[in-house]
This record gives sequence, C-alpha cells and structure tokens, in this order.
Amino acid sequence: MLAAAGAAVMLVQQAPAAQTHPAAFRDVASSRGLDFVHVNGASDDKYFPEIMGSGGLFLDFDNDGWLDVFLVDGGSFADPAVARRARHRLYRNRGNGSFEDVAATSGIRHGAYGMGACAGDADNDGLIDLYVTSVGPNQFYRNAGGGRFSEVPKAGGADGNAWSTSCAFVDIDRDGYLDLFVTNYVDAPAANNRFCGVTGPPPIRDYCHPLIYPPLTSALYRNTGHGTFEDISASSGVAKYRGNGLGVAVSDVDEDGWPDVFVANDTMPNFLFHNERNRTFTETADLAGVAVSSDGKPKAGMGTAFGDFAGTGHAGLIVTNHETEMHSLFTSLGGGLFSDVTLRRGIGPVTRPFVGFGVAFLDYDNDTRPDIAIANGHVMANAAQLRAGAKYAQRNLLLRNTGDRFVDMGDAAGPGFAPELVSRGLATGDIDNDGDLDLLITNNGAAANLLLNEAGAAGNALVVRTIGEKSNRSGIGARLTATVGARRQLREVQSGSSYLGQNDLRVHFGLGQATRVDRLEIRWPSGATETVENLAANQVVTLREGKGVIGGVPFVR
Amino acid sequence: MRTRLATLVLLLLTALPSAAAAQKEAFFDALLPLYRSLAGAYGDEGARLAGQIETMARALATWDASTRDAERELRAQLRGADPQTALQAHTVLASMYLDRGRFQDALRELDEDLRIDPKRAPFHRLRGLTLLALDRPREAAGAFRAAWQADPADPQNAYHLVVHGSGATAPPEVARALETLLDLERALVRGERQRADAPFLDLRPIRDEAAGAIAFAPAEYAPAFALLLNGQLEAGLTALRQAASGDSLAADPALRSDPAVRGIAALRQGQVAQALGQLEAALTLAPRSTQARRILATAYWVNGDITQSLEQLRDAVRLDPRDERAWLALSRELDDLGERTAAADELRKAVTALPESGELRWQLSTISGKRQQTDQADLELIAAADRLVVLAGSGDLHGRIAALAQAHLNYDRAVALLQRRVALTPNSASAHETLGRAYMDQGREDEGCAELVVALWLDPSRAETLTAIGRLHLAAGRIAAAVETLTRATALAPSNATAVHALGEALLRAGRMTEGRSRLEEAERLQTQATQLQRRQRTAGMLTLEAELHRGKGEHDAAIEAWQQVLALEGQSAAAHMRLAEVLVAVTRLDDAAAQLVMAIAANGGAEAHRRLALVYAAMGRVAESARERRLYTDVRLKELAGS
Repeated sequence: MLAAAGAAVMLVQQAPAAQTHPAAFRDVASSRGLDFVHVNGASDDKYFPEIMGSGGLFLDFDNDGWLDVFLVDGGSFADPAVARRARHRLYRNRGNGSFEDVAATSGIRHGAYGMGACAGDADNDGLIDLYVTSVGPNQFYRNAGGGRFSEVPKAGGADGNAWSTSCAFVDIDRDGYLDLFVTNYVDAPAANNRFCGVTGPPPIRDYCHPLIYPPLTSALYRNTGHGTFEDISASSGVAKYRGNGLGVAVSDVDEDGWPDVFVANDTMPNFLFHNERNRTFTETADLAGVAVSSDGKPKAGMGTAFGDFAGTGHAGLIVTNHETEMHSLFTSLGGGLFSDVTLRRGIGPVTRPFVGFGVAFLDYDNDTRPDIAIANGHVMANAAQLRAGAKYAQRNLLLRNTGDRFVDMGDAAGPGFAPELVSRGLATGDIDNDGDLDLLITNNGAAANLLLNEAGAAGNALVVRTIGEKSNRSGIGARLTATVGARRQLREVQSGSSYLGQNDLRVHFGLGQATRVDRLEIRWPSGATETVENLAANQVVTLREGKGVIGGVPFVR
Repeated sequence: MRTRLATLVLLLLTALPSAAAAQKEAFFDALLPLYRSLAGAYGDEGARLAGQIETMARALATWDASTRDAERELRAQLRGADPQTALQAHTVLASMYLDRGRFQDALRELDEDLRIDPKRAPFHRLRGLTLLALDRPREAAGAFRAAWQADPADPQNAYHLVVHGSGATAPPEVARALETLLDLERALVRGERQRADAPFLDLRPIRDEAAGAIAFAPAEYAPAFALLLNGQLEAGLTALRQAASGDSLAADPALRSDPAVRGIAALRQGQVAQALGQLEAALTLAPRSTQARRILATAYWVNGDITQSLEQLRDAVRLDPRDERAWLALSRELDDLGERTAAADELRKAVTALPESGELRWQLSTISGKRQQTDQADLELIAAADRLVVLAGSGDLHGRIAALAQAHLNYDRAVALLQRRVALTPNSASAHETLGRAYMDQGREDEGCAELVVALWLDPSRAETLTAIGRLHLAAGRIAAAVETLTRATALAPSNATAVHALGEALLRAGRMTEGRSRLEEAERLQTQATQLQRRQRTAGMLTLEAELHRGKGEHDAAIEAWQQVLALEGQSAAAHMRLAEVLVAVTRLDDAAAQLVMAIAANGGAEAHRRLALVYAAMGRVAESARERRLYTDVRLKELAGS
C-alpha cells in the first residue's frame, strides 16, 4: 500500500451529490494557433472517401506534460493539385494551451488519402510513436525525439494497403510491447467509382451506400519488439471476419486481465474480438449482446467508446449510428455481457435526428458522472434534395449524465456546440491542464475545432498519467479504479476509440466536491496490481509501474 | 355502428331502436353510390347526384322520425319507472343518440344511468368515449379512471387508464393497471384466453375499413363530408346539395349533348372506337368544356392513344385549374407510364391550384416516394393530415403519414397521427401495435406496453406484436416472461430475425446458454441473409441509375448490359423488363424487345406492357399479334374504369 507523497492520511467523506455546472465550451482553435483546414477533395465524381472525414488526436510527443495535437488530412482522388495541398499537421502545445505548427520540421509527410491515427510508445523508449491510416498504404512514425519523427519503411510491416480507418495500439499478448489493431472499411477503389443517387431527371449524384461495396477484414499486427510488426491477422482469427469497419475501441470487457477489441461496422453487425490469451481471438459480439441493437438489426456503426458511465466499475459501450437509428448505448452486465439501454437511458430520441461519428465519455463538469460528447454530420451532401428538411451540417451533442439518464445540454453546452457542422472526429484531453476535459473536433472539408471547457474547473478532479515498466511504457491497457467513499469509478488507458482518432492517454476522474481519492487501484497490462491511497485532488499525478506515484503537478487554475 | 349497448342492458323494451338502426344504415348505405358517382369516371354520373342526395335525405327523415317515436315511447316508460327499467330506457336512449351523433344528449342519458348505478364500469367507460368524441379529453380521463376504479380487472379499463391518464391518476394505479394488462398478455401467450372480437366501441358513424384503399372526399365536397363524418347530418346534406349544384359533372351541359350521351354509353359498353367518334364530336360542340375533354381523354387512354389523352387532360386543367378530376387523371396516367418526374410536376401545380385537395397532396407524396425523393409538399401533408377528409381508410392514411413523419424525424407528430389512427380504428391490432412501437421508441414504456398488449388481445397470432412485447420484458428484466413470449413469437415466425435474436438474448440472460447461443447463431444467419438481400437491392438500384444515365447519353450497349445485371439481381421485375425493352427498341432489336415485354407481362406489368408490346409487334409487321395485345390493353383499361 503506497501513500501519496506529502499527503496526510484522511478519512474521506462520501462525496455529496455533485452539483451540475452549466457547460461552457468555446472554440479556440484559431485563437490558439490551430489553423488546420481539412482537405477532403470533394468532387462531382463523389468518391466515397470524400464523405468520411479524417481524424485527430491528442498526444504529448515531447513529454513536457502539455498535450499536443495531431490532425490527419485527406487529399483528393479527382484533382492532383488539390491532393498536393493535403498535409498532416502536428501542433506543439507551448505550455499554455496555445499551439505552434511544427509539422514542417517533424518529418511527418502526407502519403495516401489520410483517414485516422493512433499513438503509443511502440518501442518503449519513452517517446510516443504515431500510426496513420489511409486509403492505401498506412504509415508508422517512430518518435525520434527533439520534435522529429522518422517514417518506418512499410510501416514496419504494418502498412496494409486497403481502406484503413480506425486503429488502436494494444498489448494483446501482455509481453510489454504494443501491438496494433487496424480496422478496414470497404473495397472501393477509385478506379471503380460507381454512380449512386437518384435518376431524376435530372440525375442527382450522391455518395454510394457501403453495402454497394465488398466488406474488408481487420488487421492485427504483433509487435516483434525489434521495431517491426508481424501480420498475425490470419493466425489470430481476426481475418476470418469481414465487415465495414469504422470505429475501434479496446477494453477488457470480461475483466479477465486480457484486452478485447470492439469494432463498429457500418450497416453490418459489430465485432467483439475476445482475447483468448494465446494471440488468438474469438468473435463474440452476438453472445455479448453488442453485435446489433435490441431490435436485432445492424446499424451504421461509426464511432465507438467504452466507459463506466453507470458508475458500476464496469465499462459500458456507446456506438454512433445514422439518423433515425439512434446511437446505441450498452450497459455492462458483467462477465462480458451487455444490455442495450439506449431508450432507457434517454439516448435514443435525442440522437435519432443525427448522423453520429466521433464519440467520447467525459465528465465535463467533474461531477463524477461521465457524460457523452458526440460529433455529428450527415454523409449526403444532397440530403436536402433527397429528403425535404434534411440537413447536411448538424450540431454536435453534449449529453449530461444525470445518474439514470442522459440529457441533451442544447444551448447550455456553450457556444462551441452551437454551430451546425459536418463533424467527424472527436477526442478529449486537458489542453491547459486545469483539470477539466477539452475537445478536439475534426470537420469534413473544414477547419477543426478546439473546444475549451471553461466550466468544469468548478469541480475537483484527478488526472493520472501511467508509465509502464514490465508493461508497455505508455501504460496502455491499464485499468484504474478510483474509490471516493462508496463510489467507484473505472477508467482504462486506451489507445484508439471514438472515430479515426484517440483521446489523451492520461485518465481523468471527476471528483465533484471530494478533495481526495480514498483509494486508487491500478491493474497494469502485465497483470501486476497496485493501490495508492489518499491521493489529493486537483493535480496530474504520474504513476510508474511498481513505484507508485512518482510526481504530481497541480492543475493550472 | 351496431348497437353494442345491447350487450349492456338486460333486455330491450321495444323494437323501435332496431327500426332506427335500420334507417341509419339506409342513410349511410346511400352514401356509397353517391361517392362512386362523384368520381365521374364515365361522365354521366352528374344526373344522379341530386337523386342520390335526396335518397339520403329521405333516409335521414325516416331515421329521425323513428328516433322521435322511440324517444316518446321511452320517455313515457320512464315516468314512474323502477330503477331497472329506467336504467334500460336511458341506456337505449344513449345508444340511439350515439348512433345519431348527438353526443351531448347521449352524455345526459349516461349521466342518468350512472346516477342510478354508479358502479357500472361500462357506463363510465362509454361516458369517457363520448367525452373524447366531444373533444373533452380531461373529463374523459376522469371517466376512464372511474371505470377502472369500478372494475380494475377489465383489461379495457386498465388500457384506458394507462393511455388516457389524467392528472389525478396516481402512479400506483398505473402500475396496477399494467399488471392487469400483463396478466392478460400472459394468458394470451399461453392460450388460456382467446382473442377479443372487436371489444372497443367505435362511435364514428362510418366504419373506417376500406381494404387498403383510401377514399378521399373530393375537394369541393370535403366540407360536406366533414360535417357528415362529424354527425352533423342535416348540415352535411345541405352542404352536399350546394356542392353538387356547382359541380361541373352535374352542371356542364356538354355532357348532356347527344354525341356525349351516345359516346359515354358506348364507352360503358366497351365500344371504344364508337365512343371516340362521338366524344370527339361532343368536344367540337363544346370546346371549352373540361368535362368533355376529360371523358374524351379517358376514351383515348382506354384505346391506347396516350399522347392524345395527355393532351386533352393538359388542356382541361389549363381551362379549369380547379378541376380535381382532371388533375388526378393526368397524374395517374403519367405515373402509369413511369413518367414520375412529370407526374410530380403536374401534381405540384395541382396542389397550388387546389390546396384543399387531400387526394392531390397524397398522390404527390406517393409519387415522390417512388422517385426516392421527398418533396416540400410532404412536410405540408404531414402538417395538414388532421384536415384531410376521408370517408374510409382514414386510419390507414394516418398510419402512412405517420411513417412519413418518422422519415422526416418528426416523431412527436408521428405519435399524434398514430394516436388518431387508433381512435379511428380502435379494433385494429395493427394500429395498436404500430402506436405501441412508436411509444417504445420514444421511451414511453407504459403506454407502449398498453398498446402492445391490446394489439395482442385483438390478434394473438401477430408475431411482430409478441416480439415487441418480448423485447419490452427483456428491457425491464422480466426474463422468464421474455423467454415465454419470444418463444411463442418465434414459433409463429421462425424467420423473424428480430424475434430470434431477442429470444437468444433472453435465453442467455436466463442462464440457458446452449439454447441461447443456438438462437443467436440462427439470428445471425437470418440477418446475414437480410444483409445480402439489401446488398442486392442497393446494387440493383445503383445499376438502374447507371442504366438510365447510359441511356440518356445514348450509350445503349452499356445501358442494355446494366439492365441485364439489374434483372440478374432482381429476378422478375416488370419495370426493369420494360425499361430494357425500351433500350432494345432504340437499337432496333425488336425480337429481344418483344421477349422482354412478354416477361414484363408475366411479371404483372399491367396494361402498359401490353400496349408497348402491341407497338413492337406492329413495328415487326406482326399485325395480328399487335391487334391482340391492343385488345388486351383495352380490356384491362376498361376493367379499371369500371372498378373506379
């Protein structure tokens, strides 16, 4: 049992019911230096990838304790001049929540039409590496330090060459090295671009439905520990299953100590790859109750995230879907089983009008209950011509967790949630280290948003950074359970998640009025467990496997 | 409405109510021939309108006289009557007044009934329904609650308490009422209780059943029919007379000219060539007559002279933009020809000229749906649904507009429309089931449960209803009930993927892992089949589009190949065969074109397929076959005309 350095032992009162604070998210992208505008290459030929957008993520690539931003750019299939304009962007946080574009000197280059990215310390050198997915060969960048990334040829064996979408670093065999899971979408080569839409006259062309194209398999790459990856898609069993993969989220759903992988498939049943502990996986989504919604039908699964929204200590699951379908919320019943609670938790009616992509659980107001943020935006540019009243641009959603339901914050979410956009990626992270979670949102063919949370700081919180020793250096896969009084909150250090992106790897606990965490239990990916007691709130603590708390930096408030 | 109150009283006092009921039937039975005449299919119906209205007036007069006689008799019996006799008299009077649409009077009699016997639940319930008919929902809720308090075991009372809850309804009462309904559900699933045969009273004067058809009131007659449907029969008759007097079908002298009379008679007898000659002559005598043009257009249409038919109809609506019959004929012909864009364009103009026409609005929405596009007019239709006057099929119409509202993400409006559908067709299992599912989608579980159980009560063999209820049990954690209900659902519909999947989930949650896995595997197999079907359909749609584009660019070979791929995916599709035939004609592959049209006919391509085949045979010099197909075409059109 380890005591927090410098903290007196105190008995912690059970946190009273946390007060709800109105949200006040404000877009500060341009004022903070994030001048990225996504190039989607939208054309009259309606190439399918043009509607998918690209992703973004938070990462601390220079280990200065301040979150940096990586944004993926698309490209063009129709116009080479437009394609040449596309550039992935790396923004370094100056240490005050403002950013400078360091892409030009980073060594990161734009390759094929960019889709998503994920980050993790793949070589355990203490520096976070980057994997970028594309419609074509993917890229793996090793962080060389000093703000430089070096591209590993053929992505170290993980280049693939399909339409890749979301990815996640995950140590599937608990050998201390981060492996890589990549999901792929459909086989829709540009040379075989079909004409979809309505006949008219005049004919109205629009983007095709994914069922027009053949589905693809996901890929699993095992980290050899020598800077390369071995493709074990076939031997692992993952390649037996074809789907229209868009979102990836990782969690130990049956709590057996081994990470499982969920794939959100578009218009096909989702996959839940259960880790059999021997570098093989069994697809169990149907048995687990997350393959389809409660009406037994697959939906347009796009973004996805695991999170303990019910405060039970078990991770539930959310999947964003198409308009009229409702985004799906599943609560964990324990033992790897889930139940669809979309309607009972109020998610259903409020999400029905929206086409949802990026999604995350976040306790925006630090009241201990994880809320939900969703990036929405239609996929049919001609939606209004095809359905009177339909909207291409849609507002994003902030849903507050009241304990038994989720409620749309609407205008109370703040001006950052007011505009109607064609949003895609969404990532959470604390860019100004003030203890509340901010949001990065990518928009298709438009500027990205950086939504600064200006209200969450009213509540107390704790942010935890993990450093593995026997486990992977990033601590990805670690399960942290914070106990405050009778209340327990589970968080997992997760790569991937949402849509085409990744959240800050540091985990965030909203504590409400509590000033301490009674007990923080950590189960490391290696299987080792530790407990830290009496952690003071309102700081970013760093935990090193086997050493406990090695540092704490107060929030900037 | 049959006098169902007969089941509530111990005996009827006299035969007078039966006479009144018979006169009521006579009144509404006279409505049907009037309605058919108003369609004006042949053009000679106008002369009958006045007579048909007077038949209704005579029936009403006799009905009212019967009612007055019955009132006198019953009131006489009330003087000094014992409570039982008084109860029966008031009940019969209430029944007569309800039949006659005199809801306020009926309410008075029901109040007298309840003064005598305040514990009689059916009276409270009937009072509630009467108050709903008077648009007094809050008082109705109170009446339904009183009915439930008098007899909580009656499922009808439980249902009304849940769905017509008042501010005074306490949550524990709702919970008890739901228990009653769940007991009923359990009994139905186990076969311990039989289906109910139309248990809900319907206070509308006309049954809404129309076997799938929707009988819109013509625009000029809509106010009159609205009055009739609302029970304001005298006012309705007055309005009918007024509308008929201004109706060109009755007033246009062109239809009474000798050539017109002879032409119409020939058309009725199927002598089309003769009809054409006479009707052309009639038009020459009255070139500004829209009715003459419309009937001539009909004759051209029956004869397969499409261009001439369309020309006459376009002229008719130009002469009189408020001629609803001409607009409807024009849009139907264009739709039948597959020219849906043109049909939509004409209907938009029609709706602008005649915004009060429900049928024109409905046709525009239907055409838009066939084009896989929606129109701004859809939103107007959704908003205007409550104002549409429909003689029969109103429940069905409300259901279909509700589906349109859902497609436009207006779920509150959809629920309101489905509630109306249930009110119009209270004994329709489908209506209750659809509303139940809509409630469930809105998270309104109690009301959803009530509607679904009633749907099951009306038809225990509906697998969809059982599936919805089973899922409700599952969501509520009533696992054993979920297993039982879903087992019954899958027994009735083993290929219903939703039911099989839900049963699988329920079995797993019940700890029956092996059975659960087996069901889930089966559900997955069914769902895979469904996905494959969707793939085929979407791919066929995409290929159809490509085919049309190729054709538009004159790329006939590519168009032919695309249509052939469509047919390979879709199998029998009359529309695809006909479109392929068109392209084959364009490249003078007439033998192949004929073969495609023969297949179109086999796939129920209708009269148009015969007409096109006749043209192809004519181009091939196969005169006899061409004539045969033309005759077949005309025969089909004449049958359609006779049935319209």
